[in-house]
Amino acid sequence: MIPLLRTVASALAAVLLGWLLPASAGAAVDVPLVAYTYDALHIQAAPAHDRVERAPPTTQAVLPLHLASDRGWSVAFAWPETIYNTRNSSYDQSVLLVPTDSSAAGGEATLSGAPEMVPGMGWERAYSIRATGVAAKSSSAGWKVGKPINTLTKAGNSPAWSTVRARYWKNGATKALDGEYSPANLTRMGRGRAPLHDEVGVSKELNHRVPRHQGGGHSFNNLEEVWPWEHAAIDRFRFYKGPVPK
Amino acid sequence: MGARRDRSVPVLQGTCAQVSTDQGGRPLPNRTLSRAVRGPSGDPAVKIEAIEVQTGQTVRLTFESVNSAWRQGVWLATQGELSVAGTTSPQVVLWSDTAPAEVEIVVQVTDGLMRLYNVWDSGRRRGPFESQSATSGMLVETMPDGSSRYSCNDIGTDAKFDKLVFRLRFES
Repeated sequence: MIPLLRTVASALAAVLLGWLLPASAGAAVDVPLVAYTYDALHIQAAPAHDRVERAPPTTQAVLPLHLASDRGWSVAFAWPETIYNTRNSSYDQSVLLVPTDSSAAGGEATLSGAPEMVPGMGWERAYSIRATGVAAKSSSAGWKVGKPINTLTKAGNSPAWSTVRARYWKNGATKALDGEYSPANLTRMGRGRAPLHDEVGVSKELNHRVPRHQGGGHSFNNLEEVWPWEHAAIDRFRFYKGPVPK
Repeated sequence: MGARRDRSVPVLQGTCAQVSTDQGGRPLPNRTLSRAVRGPSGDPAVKIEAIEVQTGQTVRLTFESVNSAWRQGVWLATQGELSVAGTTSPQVVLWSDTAPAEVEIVVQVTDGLMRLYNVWDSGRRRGPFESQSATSGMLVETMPDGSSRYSCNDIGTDAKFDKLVFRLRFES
């Protein structure tokens, strides 16, 4: 019985959301999300999903939580138990939405309205979220050092390969070990350029583990650093003809 | 602390598996000395070793010790073909934790030089292996029996050259 009521409540929530917030333009897609809930005090400390690890949420919510948007996200709804704060036994005033797909943008949403008692469900009523602040947050979508290299651009577009490559090296510079790169190379990488072999003078390259022509993407996990002569050996389309020391 | 070595795993297990596509003819770097790392004698460490070899020659690589939390190995290449345990490729990587303590490498086809350097895997998912950092290098000693001992440093300005120690012996 309860699952049926939940289904009905979910549908009601969806309808309510459609009324509160018009659907975004373009084809809607579901983007899996993880929701972190914050009470009114903590939400200020966790305004962006990339800070979640530094400021653990009061409750880590669970799915189902869906996003209807064609770029990033704009509207979401969740079951009440997913946003119920067990620490203070109250519903939180805000929920932080973190896409599990690192290429999608995250943001904040603010709960709209108050939960209501539903016969047979208690407080377990579908609860709508008004994604206020999303528009403001979506403008902060886009990449900065430390974020996944395939994060959408500010405009919400997939980044070009040259952009991803520059991001890769910028991130790499921040995670370099002592002695891994020369100071000159760290400067280059900070500008988004590949490090040079300190003696040979050729640039390090990035190889797609799953080639582009086989559907391989530009994610960190699909890239690997190689020297040109190593690259030539693992990629039959890469022919190294660069300089070699005498 | 030495890395655990599993003798039951065949040679080349866990190496870069895609090294066989190069048909030769690609330029490879020659002997290169480090600009950043020097040995106790003040001589620069060898960043990339290049040794004269002949077609049909056998090279015997012996892993002596590992003192690293990271997986350590040796990259070997020639413009031609090297054969290791039935696998033929222009470039091979031998990992100290999976290869036998002593590995026989046969030079099938060569431009006259075999290049080699230390590789490692820090677990940071940077690539099939990591190599040629700013502070990597090898100290080379000629042993009384004519073999060469390579003592390697992977990353780190305080180079002790003990991350990987291996020996090469050339046979006709």
